[in-house]
Amino acid sequence: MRIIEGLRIKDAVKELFIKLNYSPDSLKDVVFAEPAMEPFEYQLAEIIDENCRKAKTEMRPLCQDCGVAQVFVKMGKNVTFSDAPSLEILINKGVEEAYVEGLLRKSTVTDPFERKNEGKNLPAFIHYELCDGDTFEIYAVAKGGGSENVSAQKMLVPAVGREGVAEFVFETLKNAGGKGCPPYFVGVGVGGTFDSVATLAKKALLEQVCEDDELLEMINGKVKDLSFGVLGFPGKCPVKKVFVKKAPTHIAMMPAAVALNCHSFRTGKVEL
Amino acid sequence: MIAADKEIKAGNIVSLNGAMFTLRDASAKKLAKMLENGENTGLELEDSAVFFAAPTPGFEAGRMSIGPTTSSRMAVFIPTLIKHGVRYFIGKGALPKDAVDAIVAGKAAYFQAFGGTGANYGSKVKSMELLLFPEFGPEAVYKVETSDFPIVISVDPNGGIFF
Repeated sequence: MRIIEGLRIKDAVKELFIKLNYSPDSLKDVVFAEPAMEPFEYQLAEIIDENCRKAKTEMRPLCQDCGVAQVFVKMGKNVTFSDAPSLEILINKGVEEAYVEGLLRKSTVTDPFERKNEGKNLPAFIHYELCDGDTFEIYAVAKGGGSENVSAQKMLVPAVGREGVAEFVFETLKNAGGKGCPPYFVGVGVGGTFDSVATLAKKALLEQVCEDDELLEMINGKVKDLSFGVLGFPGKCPVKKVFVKKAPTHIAMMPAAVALNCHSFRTGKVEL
Repeated sequence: MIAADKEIKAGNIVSLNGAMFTLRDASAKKLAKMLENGENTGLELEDSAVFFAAPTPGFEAGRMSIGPTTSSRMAVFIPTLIKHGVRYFIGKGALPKDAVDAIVAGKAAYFQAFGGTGANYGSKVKSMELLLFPEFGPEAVYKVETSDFPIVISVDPNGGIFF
C-alpha cells in the first residue's frame, strides 16, 4: 500500500489553485489575437493577451471571478493517505489556503437562498474516481459564474445523431452570446445519464481531448454561423477550441451537455 | 467624475480616467432601496459613474484584479440610480430595452468593459476606498480611481447603440 502524506495533498491543491488563477498550464501556449481577425476584434483579443501577461508578471488574478473550486480526484486502489480522516478535509483546506493566502476572490456562498459568503470559497466541489494501481492524480478547475451560467444540458433523442448534438452545441453558444466571455473553450459531453453527462462535458475541458472527430467537424462547421466574436462583439472568432467526450448510454437516450468556459481557461493537473 | 479620451459615441473604444463606484447584486439592491426610501447614503452620485464589479483582495500589495460582471442583472436598478444622479454605467453585456430607454432619456451612457480581463483593469486602478456595505465582502461599494481604463461605448446619450 502506498501512503501519501496528507499535507502534501493539501499543499498540492493549494498550489494548483493559485497557479490556475495566475498562469495556468491550460493557457500556456494560447494566443488570442489571430492575424485573420478584423482590426476591431484583433484589438479586443490583444487586450485579452495583455491580461494574461499582466496576470503572470504582476501576480494579479486573471479574472476577478476566481471561480468555484472544482476538484476531480483519480485514486488507485493501492493508495491511501495520512494526516486526515478524509480526502475532503485535505482538499478543502488546500482550497481555503489558496483563496485566502493567494489573494483570490471568494465567490462561493453556503446556501443558494441565504447566500452567505463565509470568505473561504468552500466547499470545493469534488468528484472521485477509483482506478487500479497506485495512481494519485488531482485535476482542478477554477471556473467563473459567467460561463457556468450559460452552460447547458439536454436530453436529446437518439434519432438526432451527431447533427442534433452539433445543433444543440450551436444553440447553446448562440444563447450564450457575449455573456460568458468568449472566445469560448467548449466541453461537449454525449451519452451517460442525466446527471453524469454534465460531468463528462467538464471532463472534456479538463482532459482537453476529442473522442469524436466527426462531431467535432460538424460543430466547427456550425460555429462559423454564429453572429458574434471575441467578447461577444461583432467578429468571427467566438470559439477558441472544442473538446468532446463520449460515454455509453441507454437505448432510448441521447444525453448531451455543453460546458462553456470563458477565455480565462483555468484548468490543471498534478500527480503525486 | 470620469472623462474619456475620445467622443462618447456608440462603437468607439475609449480610455476612461476618473472615479467610479463599484456595485453589484447585493449592494445594488440595498443601495436602490435606500435611495427609494430617501435615506442618506453618503455617496456623491451626481454625475457619477457606477462600475458593475467586485474586486479581488490585494490592492495594497499591487495585486488586485477587477472586471465587469453581467449588467443585465442590475438593469432593474438603473432608473433609480439615474434619478439620483448616476450618469455612466460600466458593465458587461447587453441591457434590456427599458434600461436602454432609461439611459437615453436620462442623457446617461452605458459602457462595456472587457469581461475576464481583471488583471489588466486591476493595473489601471490608482486608488481604492471602501465606502458602503462592508458586510457584503467583495460586493461592497468601493470608490476606485482609474487611469487609462479601456471600454467600448455601448449606449451613448444620443441614443446610439452598439452591442
